[in-house]
Amino acid sequence: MATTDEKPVPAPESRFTVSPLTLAADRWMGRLIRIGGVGVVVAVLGMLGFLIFQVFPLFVGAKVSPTSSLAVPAEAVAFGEDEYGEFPFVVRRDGSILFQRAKDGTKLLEWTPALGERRVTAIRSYPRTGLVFLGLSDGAVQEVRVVYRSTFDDAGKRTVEPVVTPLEPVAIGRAGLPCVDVWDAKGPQSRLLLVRQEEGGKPLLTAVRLTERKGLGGKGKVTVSAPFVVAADAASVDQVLLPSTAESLLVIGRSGEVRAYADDGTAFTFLQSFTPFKGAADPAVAAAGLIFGNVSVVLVDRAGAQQVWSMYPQLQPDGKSLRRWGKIHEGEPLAGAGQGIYAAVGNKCYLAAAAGRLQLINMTTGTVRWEGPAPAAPLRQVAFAGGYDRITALTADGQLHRWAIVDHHPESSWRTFFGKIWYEGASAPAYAWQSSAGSDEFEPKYSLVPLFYGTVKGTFYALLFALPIALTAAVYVSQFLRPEYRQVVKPVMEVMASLPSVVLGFLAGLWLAPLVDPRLVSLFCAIGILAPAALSAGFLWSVLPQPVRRQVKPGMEFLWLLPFLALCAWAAWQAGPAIESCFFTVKDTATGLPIADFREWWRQTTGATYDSRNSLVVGFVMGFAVIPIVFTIAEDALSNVPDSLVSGSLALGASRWQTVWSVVVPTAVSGIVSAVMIGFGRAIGETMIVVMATGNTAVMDFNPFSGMRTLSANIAVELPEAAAGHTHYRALFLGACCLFLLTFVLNTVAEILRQRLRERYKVV
Amino acid sequence: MPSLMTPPSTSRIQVRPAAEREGRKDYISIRDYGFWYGQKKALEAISLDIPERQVVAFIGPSGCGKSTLLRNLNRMNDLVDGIRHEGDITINGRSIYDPGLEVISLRRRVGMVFQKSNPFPKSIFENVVYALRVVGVRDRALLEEACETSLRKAALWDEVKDRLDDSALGLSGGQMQRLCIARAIANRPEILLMDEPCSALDPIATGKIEELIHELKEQFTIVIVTHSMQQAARVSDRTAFFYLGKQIEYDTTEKIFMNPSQAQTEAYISGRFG
Amino acid sequence: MSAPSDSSTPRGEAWVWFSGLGLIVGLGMVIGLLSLVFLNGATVFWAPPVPLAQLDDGRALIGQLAQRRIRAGSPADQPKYERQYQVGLRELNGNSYLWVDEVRIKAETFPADILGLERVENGPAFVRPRSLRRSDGQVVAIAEPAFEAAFQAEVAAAAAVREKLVEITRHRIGDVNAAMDRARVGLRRAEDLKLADEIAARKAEIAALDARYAVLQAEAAKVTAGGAVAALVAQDAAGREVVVPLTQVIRAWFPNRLETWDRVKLFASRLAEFIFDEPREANTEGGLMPAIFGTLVMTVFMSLMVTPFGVITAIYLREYAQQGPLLRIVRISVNNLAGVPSIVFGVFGLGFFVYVLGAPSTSCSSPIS
Repeated sequence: MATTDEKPVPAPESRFTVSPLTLAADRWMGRLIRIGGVGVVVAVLGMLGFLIFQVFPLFVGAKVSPTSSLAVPAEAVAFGEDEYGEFPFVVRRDGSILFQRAKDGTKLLEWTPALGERRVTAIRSYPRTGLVFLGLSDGAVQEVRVVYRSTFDDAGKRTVEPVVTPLEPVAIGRAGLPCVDVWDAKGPQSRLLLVRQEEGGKPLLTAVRLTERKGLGGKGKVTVSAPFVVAADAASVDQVLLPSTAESLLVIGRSGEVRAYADDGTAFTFLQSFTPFKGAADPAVAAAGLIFGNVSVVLVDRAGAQQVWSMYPQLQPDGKSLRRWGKIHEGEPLAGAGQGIYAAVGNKCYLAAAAGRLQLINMTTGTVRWEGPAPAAPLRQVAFAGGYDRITALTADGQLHRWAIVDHHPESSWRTFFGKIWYEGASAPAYAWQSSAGSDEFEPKYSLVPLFYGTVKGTFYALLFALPIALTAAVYVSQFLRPEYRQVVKPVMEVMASLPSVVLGFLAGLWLAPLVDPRLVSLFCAIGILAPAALSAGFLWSVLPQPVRRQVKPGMEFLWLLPFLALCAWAAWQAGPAIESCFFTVKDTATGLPIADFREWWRQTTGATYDSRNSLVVGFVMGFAVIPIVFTIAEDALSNVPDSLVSGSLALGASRWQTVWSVVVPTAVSGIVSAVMIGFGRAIGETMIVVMATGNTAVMDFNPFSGMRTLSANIAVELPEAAAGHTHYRALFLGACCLFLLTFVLNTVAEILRQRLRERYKVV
Repeated sequence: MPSLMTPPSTSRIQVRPAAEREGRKDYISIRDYGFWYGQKKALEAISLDIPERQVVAFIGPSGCGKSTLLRNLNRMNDLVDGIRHEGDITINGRSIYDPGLEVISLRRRVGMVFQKSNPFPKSIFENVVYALRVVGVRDRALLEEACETSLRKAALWDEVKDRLDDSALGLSGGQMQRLCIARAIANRPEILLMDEPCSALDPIATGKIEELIHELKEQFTIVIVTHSMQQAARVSDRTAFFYLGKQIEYDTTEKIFMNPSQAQTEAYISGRFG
Repeated sequence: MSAPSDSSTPRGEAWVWFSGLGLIVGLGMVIGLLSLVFLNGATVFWAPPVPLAQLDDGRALIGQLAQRRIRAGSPADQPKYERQYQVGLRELNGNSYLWVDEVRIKAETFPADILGLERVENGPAFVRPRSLRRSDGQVVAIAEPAFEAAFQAEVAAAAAVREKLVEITRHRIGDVNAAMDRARVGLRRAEDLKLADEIAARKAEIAALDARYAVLQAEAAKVTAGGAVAALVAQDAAGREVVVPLTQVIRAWFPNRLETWDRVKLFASRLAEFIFDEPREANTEGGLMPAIFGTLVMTVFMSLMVTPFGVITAIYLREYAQQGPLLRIVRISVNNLAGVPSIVFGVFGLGFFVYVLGAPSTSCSSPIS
């Protein structure tokens, strides 16, 4: 090695240093990427969190807080108020009415009745309608109308002026006997006034009808019918419940017997009698109240036991179905003897007072939405405000108590969505989803159980079609098909995945269902013959002598199978009508003649329905959505089994099928399970096909010829119309939340299973 | 002559005297055999006879076609596309390309052990009795007997007899290869093909397997492909040397290694190439 | 223990054939569906010969055959058929389509002078032309040899008029209207705030725009009048006279005179219209361009916004994440995002993006607690 006088110039150290730009870029990109990666978790959790946040208010109870307490004359026995509660009035025992300002209690107006010699012996106030009824000492009743008139001055300030208009007293009860109690109700044709008097120690109930005929000028003429006695057959009268619509009457006797009468237009006819607390030590009814809608009544006994009775169709001994009263709920016992049941307006909640406690209970679900202390003094009258935001109660010590209610979803609780509820008017408790109907008094039903059932049903039928096809196709394509065909066949199968589900749903509902409907038996024959035909083709081939067998090259079986299957399917299709007339002939209900119709046969034999848009059609079309996913993943899993295992098995003399069955499939089972699970998840969430191809009826049966309503289809159909923030809207969000959690659990289980199986069948 | 249908005996095989061991000289007979992968000619004019119950080694540099010829003996190359052959291979007088012979029937007679051990992801027991299940043996007692016999023959019984139901993938490399050998002989094939069975093993495991081959040749005709000439010298009775798809020399091992007649053979043996 | 002979079938071969069934059904489903969609769709654009059918009650109709089906209630062994013809001329016939029992059709001919028209309003028309009134007022009868050339020329000229009219009304007048709206809003605001000079400026602007509007309107009227002259006088099957202003005609063809190649060209032209034009007549005619455009825009937007996220997450999972619970959580989250049904995303989108993010600009009176 030659030496030089000069030392070689060393390369600059800078070749080892990294430029600061590269370092910075690395650092910032690293941060960005970490944020992005974790961002996925944030996205998923955020979505779930948002859904739960929207759903959460459904399960929060009511918040009832006392707001104010207004001092009123101690002799006040009834009250009323305006819409906002700003100017309440109380009615004194003598019938005079005092208006006060709620803000400061100052007097606004006082009115006294001009009755001459007659005294006021009974008072009833209906705050909702602004009517006060004064029962007089001679058996007459005076109606006093209270109207709040608002005027606006120039500056826009509002002044409210109550106007009290008394009407002419109407003679109702037995002349000379004082009224003990008075009620008013408004029926479809006329108003009803009911009066209770005591005659010789026995109660006497008399009623009149007031019909108002409106003249052309607007002023009407009121005709008063002749007084008629009601409930004369009642042994004793403890309480009387007259619903505001006057169609029925409940008289509760001292023995706890409830006698129900129905208004037939002229008088009240006896309908039925029941003793709700028959078995108890003290069967007397301590408190009773009708619920909004006037179809149900809540009864509480002296021990605090609660029952709800309602009018619903019951099968009579003569086979007819008539609406009668029956017990629909047995509520949670109250703290003590019932002191009062006060119904809310606009929903099925009520306030139950017992033993110094107040409970706000929803009648339909039975949940106690709030519980709190009652005022010390006995309650004289309690009324809910129309907007379900306020409770006002008059107590015997001259106080008008007020509570504010915050309860946006009175009808919702866990039971509403997942339990069996006996809705008003139904003959039995049921799981039902019915979010809207024609009338205002309809009670929406939000049970998610029929929707879960529908989801399971849809998924079952979808997988019933899809899994056999996809898995067998995957086995054939990965193991037996010639490799050059595989390159063509695999993309064609995967084209199925690119078909939009809207198109599939449209074709299913509008083309396939009507097409299949009259030819069902032929279709079943044609499809049903495929599997046996394929198997028998295989067996046939295997018993042929070897020189003939050799004509079919391995990997080409499906080309030979195709014409054979087509022939068999065609033959089965042609034979369909013959088979139908052989097995499925029934008597046509319309003409009486025997006809060969599978649909009619199904209806008559099983009693179940037959819809043309049924689960079989939906299941078949959902196959288009599920098959490509399962096929692709399963095929990949099967292809990834190492060739060394396949060679090893073949070298031991195993046949193709034995190799596949004993070695390949067990090795690939983790991938196959994964494929099935993912297909499962897709079938659960499939929306558009179900929406368009089923009848979307929320039925709970496994009849293959009826429709279904799935969670996803339900959301798609109803969410656009649901008012934001209302119970319906949040119920749909709950459905979405359930779907999310369902697929979450499914995916996680699938992942764990896949890991477990991969460990077990790990190949070196 | 052991046949497929005789139930396996449980006694260890006795080493029979050489005279009794002599069998057919042309048990496997390869005549003018040529083989193509598509357009590429892999084998040309191979002609050799493999006698019964002897060990024949195929040696040669990489790509010389020895593995291809081995794989053709049980028609494993049928799995590859576009292959073509000329000439014939007969086993015990019957051509393996006879149209009346199902390939899987051939493969039951001709077992194979691969270069890289490939136990199935099943238990050890299930691996060994796989070939018996494939032919339809269900009797548990029979299967257990056969399992024990094969594992003893493969010199693996003592090591695994307590854990037959454990996964076969938990064995060491050498144990796995011996398991594959046990699996291959469980259904008593007449011929055993071994494609570089020790190339992935350490010397001790290799030694065990070479011992095994000595014992197995009492019962089986063995053809072994090896890239180790020392192994061929130790183990085989006859050796064939291949180069570029052609058969260069085929003779007794002693002759090949001591006194090869072809110059190429001599060059390969002395390590000058390959 | 069975004894397989050397030439017997390998076991389980029948099951290999059975698994082939799955493949056949799968392929059949795909190919069947695609064929169904394409065939049904493609036949819509094909222009077959149009017959003149004489019915047994003396009536005649000219229409393109649309459907043929078995009459409801006809006996199974002797099915009776009915045919649906697209007769067009909705303003005269009430309905574009007509069902006729097959037995009532006495004779069917294919006169060469039947003309098919696709129109802007009232759907198609199948008529027998009598004469053409050109835009210069001259009348050309059907018998004259120059008729067809003149007709096609007039149709082309009318199309140009139509386009010009669209340009004037939709674009230029539209712009004027939009500016007018803005000016009026500005005027209102100025009046509220009592800014005198602003008010004057706005009023002047509105006056100028009004003048411009009048000019454009006059121009549009002139173009309309100019195009109104050219018309086709024809007769329908019942002999009633039909006058079709040529500005109404989008496409005209003689269905019984076309060669196959011409029909193919017509097919291609209709297909192109379907893909590239805008819809007419409440989405029953014309093209799908807005829908296609919307789909493409949505897809492109979505891809642009989503691809970086996906790639970044993948890079993170592979390169940056350390083994451990966080990695598993991220993987599970990705799997869940993939597996969540799309309706849940829709619900989230509605609840969050529309009602929460979009709420302040709209009045939302219901409580969202």
